[in-house]
Amino acid sequence: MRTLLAVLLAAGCGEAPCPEGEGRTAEGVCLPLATDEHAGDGDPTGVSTVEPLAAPRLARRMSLDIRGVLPTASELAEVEADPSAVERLRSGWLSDPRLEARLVHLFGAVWHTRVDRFDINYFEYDTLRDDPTVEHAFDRAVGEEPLRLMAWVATTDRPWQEILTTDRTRLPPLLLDLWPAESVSGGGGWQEARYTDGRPAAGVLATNGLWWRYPTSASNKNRTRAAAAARLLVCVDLLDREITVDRLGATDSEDAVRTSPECIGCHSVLDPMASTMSGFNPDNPHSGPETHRYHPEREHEGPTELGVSPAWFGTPVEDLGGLASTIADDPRFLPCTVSQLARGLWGRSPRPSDEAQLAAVVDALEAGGARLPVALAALMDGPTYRAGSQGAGGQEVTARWLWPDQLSTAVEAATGFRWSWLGFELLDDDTIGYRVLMGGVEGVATTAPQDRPGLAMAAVWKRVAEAAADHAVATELEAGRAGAGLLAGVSLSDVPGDPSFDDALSDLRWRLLAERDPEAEAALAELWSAVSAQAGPAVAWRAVVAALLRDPRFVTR
Amino acid sequence: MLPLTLLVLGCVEPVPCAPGYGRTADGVCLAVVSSDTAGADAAELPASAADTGGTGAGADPGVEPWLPSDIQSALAESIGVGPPTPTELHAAWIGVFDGAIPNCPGAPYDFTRGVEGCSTPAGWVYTGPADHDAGEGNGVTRWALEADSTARRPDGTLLVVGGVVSWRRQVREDGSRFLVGFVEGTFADDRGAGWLGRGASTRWSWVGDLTADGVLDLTIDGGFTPHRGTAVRFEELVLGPACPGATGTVHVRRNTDARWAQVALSCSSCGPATFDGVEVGEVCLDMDTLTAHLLRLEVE
Repeated sequence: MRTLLAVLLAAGCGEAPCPEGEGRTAEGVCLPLATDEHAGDGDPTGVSTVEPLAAPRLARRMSLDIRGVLPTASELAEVEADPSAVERLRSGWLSDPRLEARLVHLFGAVWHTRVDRFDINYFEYDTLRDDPTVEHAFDRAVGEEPLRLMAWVATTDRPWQEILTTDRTRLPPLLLDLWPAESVSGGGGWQEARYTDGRPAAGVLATNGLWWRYPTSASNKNRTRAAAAARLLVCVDLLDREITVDRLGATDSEDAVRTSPECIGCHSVLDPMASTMSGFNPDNPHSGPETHRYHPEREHEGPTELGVSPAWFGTPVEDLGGLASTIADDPRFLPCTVSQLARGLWGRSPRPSDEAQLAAVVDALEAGGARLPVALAALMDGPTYRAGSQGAGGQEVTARWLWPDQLSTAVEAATGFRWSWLGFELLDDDTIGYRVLMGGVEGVATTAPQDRPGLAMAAVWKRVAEAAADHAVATELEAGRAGAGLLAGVSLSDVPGDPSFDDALSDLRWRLLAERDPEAEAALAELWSAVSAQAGPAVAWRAVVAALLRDPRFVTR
Repeated sequence: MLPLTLLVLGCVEPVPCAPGYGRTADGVCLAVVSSDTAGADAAELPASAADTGGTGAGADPGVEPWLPSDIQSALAESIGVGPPTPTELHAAWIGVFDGAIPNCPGAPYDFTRGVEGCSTPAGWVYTGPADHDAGEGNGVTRWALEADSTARRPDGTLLVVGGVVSWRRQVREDGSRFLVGFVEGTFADDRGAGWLGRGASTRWSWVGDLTADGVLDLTIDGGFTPHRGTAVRFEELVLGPACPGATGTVHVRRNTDARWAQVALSCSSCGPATFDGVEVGEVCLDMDTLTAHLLRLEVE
């Protein structure tokens, strides 16, 4: 297992490989590989100097990573009283239905299917064309299909290999009405579904959502899709291979891919994979009916046009279903998944020095019947996940920015505020919204979360904080409704020094930041008093809540 | 002699027979009762009743068998729906212009409003671009349609045309007709009958003649999949007066596991079917139904 991981890590799992004996750091620098003998002894990553997070902050990090929301007051109290309660709480959170959405975003940051535009637009469907408010929902429904299938496998106690072998998918009613598929589970929202167009059982490799994101053309012949499958499922990025094309000369490109040394290095792998995918060949890639339907009568075209027999890295396969099940058995498959999860949870790409830690997670995953929550728990038990502070020169990511989805759901759960407009979720869209400005992944031009803060991020935090604070105060203090309960126990007549005010302020800060600091609480009370003197208590509470929601300790995990 | 020659030349793989069958010198798989029955040349039969063709290949034990009768039923079901021909599609296309108004959807018989489409006060909704081309002269009648379009009628029924359809007929002086056509794409019409009413994904073409006395001499290539139906693909299938039935290969797909069977026809409407690398028995193509459908090409 370690050898496999070393290969994946040395390849950067998506980045250009470093010279032999070296590995790439989060900063993109190639450094000599750490060996077991001196890991922790002059470790260039600085992991050895890292101190773990305090239990309440760790619980907050886990809750945000698993559920996308802050721990409740009672959960924080439990951890404060008994730090070991973190593990118990995490165990329960891993069964929380909100894990599905988090997995969608964790994998979405790598799979890049949550894009804002596909070759087919919502308005090309006649039943949607007059409703522009459906655009965001349509794009997310399409792009999330493979991610929802993966999340469903993960959260329903199925072995992870089923993402490649199931004949089911996940679709919302919006797409069930448009595509050749039928609901199996019934109900509302994302449903267990099955295509009715004869496509083979190949899990994510038989989803429209994946292939709409990675389209092909008559000359590309599904090679883009094959390359995506290799990158996403076994972390082999063929585009990282260094080639020179100087010697191609006048050779016909279709001949060159079979004969030129510069080409066959990739195409000998790529084309046999691509040959299994021709059932997804649309006659016109911009045609909805052609693109959302599988075409069994075209399955033979791949091997014929590419001049190869179907295979996965040299292993012959029968067809797309055979390709998918062969990938599921590939020893690189589970390590690749673990690497993708680590990238999301750690706030950085895995490094060569992480090999032992990741190998332990893969071992746990295999021992746990390939159930993904086992891998999540094992990753969260590791020192890198729990890193909280470090000495000078340390290179660990100890404070990880909330991804846009985490900020969105955490703020909504805490304050009741959801930032949407005309059907667009403004923290989850870039056609109308701020997803990339917030450091998120748009999937085409932006393919990795922003790993350091910027002015645009700060500007969006400010707007979100102000709007959410306004909503919470207006709802709970001015209208007197229960709302999200952020300001429960306090009223507009309370002032600093009143037990109800002081308790509410302390509790507010604790719940939002999972950290106690009397000096910071006093500073907030001063802020409240200064603003209240000029604009009254309601505005003062807006200022305090907004300040907390913009606090670096709130927007990080 | 021909099969033997082809085998020597490496043109045809010796397909193993199913368990309980043996291959005769003529290359036919017959049930093996005993070495001196079944009309087979015992000297040509392998020692084992199950011939693996000497390749070591054979049926995958993990694959459910597909009986010839089931293959034939699947084939008949799709042929019964009808291979997609332009006739019904063209009529439906012209029909949706009953609801056209100036600039919506465009000049006859194009859709010129692009991907955003248009709608009419009477309740017709047209989406997507479409380019229709037709002509007639010197005995040639032709039309072609390239569309990524839908047309929803006021009663809610929908015509879907996603692809390219082309058809050309040339009537010669002797009354025979030269036909060329292809249908590629996804098509459906809630008001339609047969393949169009069912909807189908298709990529197939034909070229050949219809003699003055109504005999088809066509070569068909490509396949189609009726919605929720069995995919069928013809590989260089020749229907002609030179010999009865047809010559070529018909591929039939089992949807439950996406595996294909092949039926080899040689001047016959029946031929040996191969599934999972094993010859499983004889399957017949309903030539009368297929021919009847193809003759609709001329109902323009």
